[in-house]
Amino acid sequence: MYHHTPEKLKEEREWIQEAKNRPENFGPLYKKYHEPIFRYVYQRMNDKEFAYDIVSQVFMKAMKNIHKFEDRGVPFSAWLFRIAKSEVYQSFRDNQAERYVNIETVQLVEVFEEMEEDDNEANIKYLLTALKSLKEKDIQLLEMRFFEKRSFKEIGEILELTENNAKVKTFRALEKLKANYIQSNKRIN
Amino acid sequence: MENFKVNLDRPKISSEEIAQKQNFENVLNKFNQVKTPVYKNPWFWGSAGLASVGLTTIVSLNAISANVNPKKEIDDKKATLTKSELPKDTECIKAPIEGENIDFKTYHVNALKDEKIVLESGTTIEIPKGSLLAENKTEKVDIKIREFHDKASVFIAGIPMDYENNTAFESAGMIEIRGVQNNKEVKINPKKPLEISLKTDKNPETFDFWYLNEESKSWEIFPTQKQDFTSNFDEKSNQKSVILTKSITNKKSEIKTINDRINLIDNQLSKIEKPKEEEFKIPKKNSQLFDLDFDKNDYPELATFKELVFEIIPSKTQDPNFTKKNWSDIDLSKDGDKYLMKFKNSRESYQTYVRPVLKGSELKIAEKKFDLAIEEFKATKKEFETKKVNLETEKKAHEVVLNKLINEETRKNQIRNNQAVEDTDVKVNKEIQQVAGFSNFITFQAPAFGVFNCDKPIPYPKAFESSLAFLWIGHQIAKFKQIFIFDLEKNTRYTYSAIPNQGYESIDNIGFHKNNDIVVVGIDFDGNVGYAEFKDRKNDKSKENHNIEKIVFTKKDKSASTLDLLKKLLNETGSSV
Repeated sequence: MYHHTPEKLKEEREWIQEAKNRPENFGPLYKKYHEPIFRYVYQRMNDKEFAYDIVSQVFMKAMKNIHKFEDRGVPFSAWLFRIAKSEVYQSFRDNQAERYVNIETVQLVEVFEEMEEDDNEANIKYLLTALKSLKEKDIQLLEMRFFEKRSFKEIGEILELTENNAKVKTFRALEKLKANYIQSNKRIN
Repeated sequence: MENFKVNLDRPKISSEEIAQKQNFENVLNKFNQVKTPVYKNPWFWGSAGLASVGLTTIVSLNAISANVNPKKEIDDKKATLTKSELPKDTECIKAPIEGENIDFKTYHVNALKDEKIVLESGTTIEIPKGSLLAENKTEKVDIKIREFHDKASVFIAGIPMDYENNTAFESAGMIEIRGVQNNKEVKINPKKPLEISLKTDKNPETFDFWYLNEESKSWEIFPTQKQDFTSNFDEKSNQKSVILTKSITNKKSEIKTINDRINLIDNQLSKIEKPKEEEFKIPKKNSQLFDLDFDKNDYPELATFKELVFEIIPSKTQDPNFTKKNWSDIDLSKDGDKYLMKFKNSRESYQTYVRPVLKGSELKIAEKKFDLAIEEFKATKKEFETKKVNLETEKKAHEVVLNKLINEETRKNQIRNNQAVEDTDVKVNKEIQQVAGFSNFITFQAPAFGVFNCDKPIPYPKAFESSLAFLWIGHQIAKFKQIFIFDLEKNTRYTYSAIPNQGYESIDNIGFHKNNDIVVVGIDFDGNVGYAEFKDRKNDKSKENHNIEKIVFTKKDKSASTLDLLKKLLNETGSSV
């Protein structure tokens, strides 16, 4: 998403301009970003159909507000993810959806590597317990970095942080996870 | 404590499955159903939003006439508030100097009538009937307004002037407008927004228009129709004719729709058939009837009728004497849906079509049903005919309006073709502008109360290389919780705040353009206001490349008005609020 060629960027800018002129012209942008936005939303919840509903809401909001979008260094995709983030968290606040974190076991390996711990079955259990006690602001950073494989630049753009700040905050979140993990390990043993 | 649930290795969804769920048409339909009121859509102001242009034109023309003699309306409605009646500061708008604020002016308006408020600046607010959603419709609503045309007043009122990406606004005119009834906030019906024509002191073409979202505490861009009263008359003239053209097109379209509906009714009328007696098995008057025994097993469709006779269906080839002859055999058969009766004797045979009809009590029931069907037929026919008459009346009314519009367009085109007339209009317009003493207006529709601002974001200046020391005169350290840099050249205010719990020393990153005239205002933790000036420095070569290391503040007398002081410092003594 963040490795556009100049031609693709130019094409996207044209689409944006056309969508600003008429909402009917939003189609190509919808087609391009439907899957990434759905995956972002569904990553954070467990109800597939509701996730699709939220995706529709995201695009409706994007169509409504596209006139506000200005290409000032923030990619259009990041702008869409910001809307998606807002809609997802609103659904949690309204108790319409429950917050889930979806993880593949293989993705935990990298977390273990960062924490310099063995990725055995027992440790996975401790890690999951440790993850569940993290605060939202920390889990979202780890989620984007390790489970969605986003770059710090992209994380920063979505969370409205500088790239460096996103890196520092992710590192701190990892430190908290590690502290929780040690606590969890001790408590269970 | 678990803050969320974790799914480990949930089955993946394929891209194909997600793609199948794509439905842009559905999203677009939903968007069209709930889309932002048209006045909030920027494309509304484009070629598609011709109606708004016309409305704006009307508002603008009203503003011209209102401003030529604005005093009368102001006298009728003006009632300045006491400070105790001021709406409370919101979390977003917080007057920084304790005990000082900018007064609102209150106008009492009737929510059940079209109202128009004309401010001293020439700014007009039109409140359409039904716009104010007041609890008590019969009681007047207080419209509280304060209009800002200088930095000092905006500062004293506590209007935030920062925008995203480290920028601050250069204002070209701002208005705050609230609605109150019995100390309760009144809202605006978004379908009937206020029409505001705000005076600006600068060329509005170089500024954007913004609405202060007090929930998110941020400025949001807001669509407007920029109005330059000094612009030539051609534009307005063209706008009006565009409206006429558009109205004519709309009217023609309405008439076409009515014609289509009339055609549809004609079509439906042609399809309504009058009930026929034979459908109810009722014999015709003076017809020839035969009583005939037949095997009901051969004709099961007739088995349900108890009393049945057969009626001769008259035909041109019918032998008028056949009933006078002796027939030895009569046979009933079917020819398709029809019944055929064959008469035979030793010499000849004869056949004729017949139809089964009722007699006795069954006939009476059938006759009643037939009468009801006739009544229903007449009622339905009348209903359609009434609809048609109404539509034709409606069509005639539209045609009258259409003719008027066409005549008006013709008249307008004639005027527009006459350059001499146009030139006169331009001259008159300019003369009005000179007499009224104003230049530019921005016209917009306000679907909610709040703060509206004609602004341009200006980047914060680069911070000085080294931290600044803040001192009172006499070298005592000044401990400010907020510092405001007023750049007189850029017409901007930059705000710097101490980080909570980290004290005055946390105010950092201050900088300003060294060659510009600058006024620095600080508010310390005890509420003292201090100020310092950096003026006439363009020609001061000794300071040009010199980093400023400290700012020495003069403490304002607590009893003195900060507004007056600031106006003097910012050279805004002649400006108005």
